[in-house]
Amino acid sequence: MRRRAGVGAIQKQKLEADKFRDKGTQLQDSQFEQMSKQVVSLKENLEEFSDKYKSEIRKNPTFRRQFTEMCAAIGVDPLSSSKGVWSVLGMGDFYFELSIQIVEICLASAESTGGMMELSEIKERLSKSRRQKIQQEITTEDVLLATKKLKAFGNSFQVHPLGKNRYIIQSIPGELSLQETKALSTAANTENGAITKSLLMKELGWNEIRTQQAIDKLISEGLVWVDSQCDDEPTYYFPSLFPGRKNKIEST
Amino acid sequence: MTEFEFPWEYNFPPFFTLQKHTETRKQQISRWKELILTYAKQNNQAVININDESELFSNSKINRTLDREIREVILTELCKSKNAEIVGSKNSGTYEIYWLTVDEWSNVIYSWAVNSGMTNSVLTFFELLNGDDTRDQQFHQLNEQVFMKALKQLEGKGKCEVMEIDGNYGVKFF
Repeated sequence: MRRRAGVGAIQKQKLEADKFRDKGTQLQDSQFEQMSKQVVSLKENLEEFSDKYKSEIRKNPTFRRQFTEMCAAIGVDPLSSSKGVWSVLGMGDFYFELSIQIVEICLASAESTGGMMELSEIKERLSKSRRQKIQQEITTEDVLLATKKLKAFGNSFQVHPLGKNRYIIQSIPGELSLQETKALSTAANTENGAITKSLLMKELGWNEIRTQQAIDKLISEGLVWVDSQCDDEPTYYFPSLFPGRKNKIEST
Repeated sequence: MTEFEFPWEYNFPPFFTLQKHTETRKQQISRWKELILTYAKQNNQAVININDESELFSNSKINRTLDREIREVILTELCKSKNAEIVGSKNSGTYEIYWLTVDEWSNVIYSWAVNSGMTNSVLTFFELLNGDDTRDQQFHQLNEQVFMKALKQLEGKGKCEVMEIDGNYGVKFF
């Protein structure tokens, strides 16, 4: 005969469930406690680490690169916030400061360059303006990373690769068309940063209409200046790539 | 006098071709205006004739010359900002250049006169422009015509009186 479920059995079941729940909470609590401890110790370690290496982060570009690589590997963005555990490293501050300086440099000469400046020139100007402070070497990667942060402000700051580890930073809003980017890269490989219609047609295999359109667009965006006093055909100069302007940095 | 240092644009070939794009042209003209004024100031050159061959308008190193029409466009802009004035007929091509406007010159001269206690005595143009007392003043060795214009303006405001003594000019500041 099957035993009828009595009050006692129900109570017993309830008691067991309670016990399980208690045990579960207990386990959770201890896990949480452990994790909190780990976070605290991570923070302590980080602080210790940063005390030891803070100046190293600011001074040593190789160290900086390795550190950002490490952060990327474990899925942490040390620049994402100036709060939180990572802020103790001053990593964010370093790049924020750099970003602001890049904006300043770009805007200061935006009028004469049409808002374009080669990364190498920015780097040179940066190291010049930072020279008075502690010796800090700024690398191409640093500038790229700092510029990336500026994307938060919309499409005003963009990086265009020019090939062979050369980049140009655009500090005015607006998208460059594929044609313009190609024309820019072609100009970057010339001595004076200048192009002609026939050069573009030869180098890029474009027809005349397409070439003319690209050039007209560059003119209308103030990125090139026309020189009509050459022997055969008009030459279009990018002031941003003109060596005579860039060389002025050393003398000023 | 140290040699004039041209800005980088002077070696930038398109600087000598009038740009068609509005924004670029604005930038170009403003850079030219600046160049002409600093050039005139450093060489203490009060008069420029746009028909003359001058290193200011031609860079032989890159074989580029600013066309006469463009020179005229830029000088007209300088006139608009009171930094130049045409001399003689409209086609003379001769302009007086004011790196300080006549207004600014008259202020500079008058405050010098007041601050150095030169009011109420007659001073000759010669001693004002070439004397030792004004050696460190901006208007030292200023072109006499420009100087006269500034003083005439002051005279109009009742701040000085220009007088002629035996063919030489003098002035009394009040």
